[in-house]
Amino acid sequence: MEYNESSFSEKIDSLMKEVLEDSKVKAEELIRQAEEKSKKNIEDAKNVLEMEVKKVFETMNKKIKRERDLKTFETEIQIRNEIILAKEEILTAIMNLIQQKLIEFTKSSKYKVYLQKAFQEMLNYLSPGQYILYFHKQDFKKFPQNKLLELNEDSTLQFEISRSEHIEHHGILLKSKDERFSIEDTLEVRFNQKKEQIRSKIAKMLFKD
Amino acid sequence: MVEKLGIYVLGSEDTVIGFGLIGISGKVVRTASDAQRLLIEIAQKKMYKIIIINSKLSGEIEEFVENYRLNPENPVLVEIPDETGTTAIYESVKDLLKRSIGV
Repeated sequence: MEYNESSFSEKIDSLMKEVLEDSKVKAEELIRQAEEKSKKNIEDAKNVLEMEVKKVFETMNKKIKRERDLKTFETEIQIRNEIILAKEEILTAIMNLIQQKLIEFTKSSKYKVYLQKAFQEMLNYLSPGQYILYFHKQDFKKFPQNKLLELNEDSTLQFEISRSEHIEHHGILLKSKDERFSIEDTLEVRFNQKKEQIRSKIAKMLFKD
Repeated sequence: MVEKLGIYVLGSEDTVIGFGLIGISGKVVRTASDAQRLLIEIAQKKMYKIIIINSKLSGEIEEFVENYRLNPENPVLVEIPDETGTTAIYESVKDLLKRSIGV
């Protein structure tokens, strides 16, 4: 076999070229794969991060919504309570006004008739004896005293009007002289007895509840 | 006394007259815009704690009422139904007093 140095060198060059080409292709392939892997890793990391952020946002939104709902509920309850209290105040004001009207009534001419009627009703509960009538200091002159004189003459019931002691309310307080028996018929007593009934009727009419 | 308690009425003629008969003052309101304007004026005056308003009227300014209620500085709004005339209520109370107290 003939040995030719130049052809050998050419052969070597060609082989080296081939090896280099192969290496280049392989290196490029490896780089491409590495790039793809890294790209995928970044994409995966991004997705995980996005999901985490989404989760945090969802939890935060839920919390905010819950807080907002709670606040709205509390405000609603507070407004409802304020309305209930306001309704109570309106009713109290109306009841006070009614009481004022009752006091105004005691200054009217109809009040004299009312006193007379109240006294007449009291007579049904009395047994023979001596009695003292007490009035509010503005009232005792409004009571028809001649009526008492007539009664004192004709019956076993004897009455006198207390001029030194008065009652606080408008109406009549009747006591037996021995103080064993007494009847109080005043506007305040009557009003207080019916107060709750009147209040609840007004509430029903006014607020329908 | 009621002025001190600070109650005011806004609503129909019948409502305002009815409350007026027992001594609670107010103003007849016919339009939703008048109601809004008066509610703002009343709140600014800070004289009244409670405002009684016909539910029909407050229904016309529902959103305004909701926001009005959210401000704790504003008077409390109490709605009353307007299907029953308040003067009729006044007459009923008078009748009730006559029957229960005799005056």
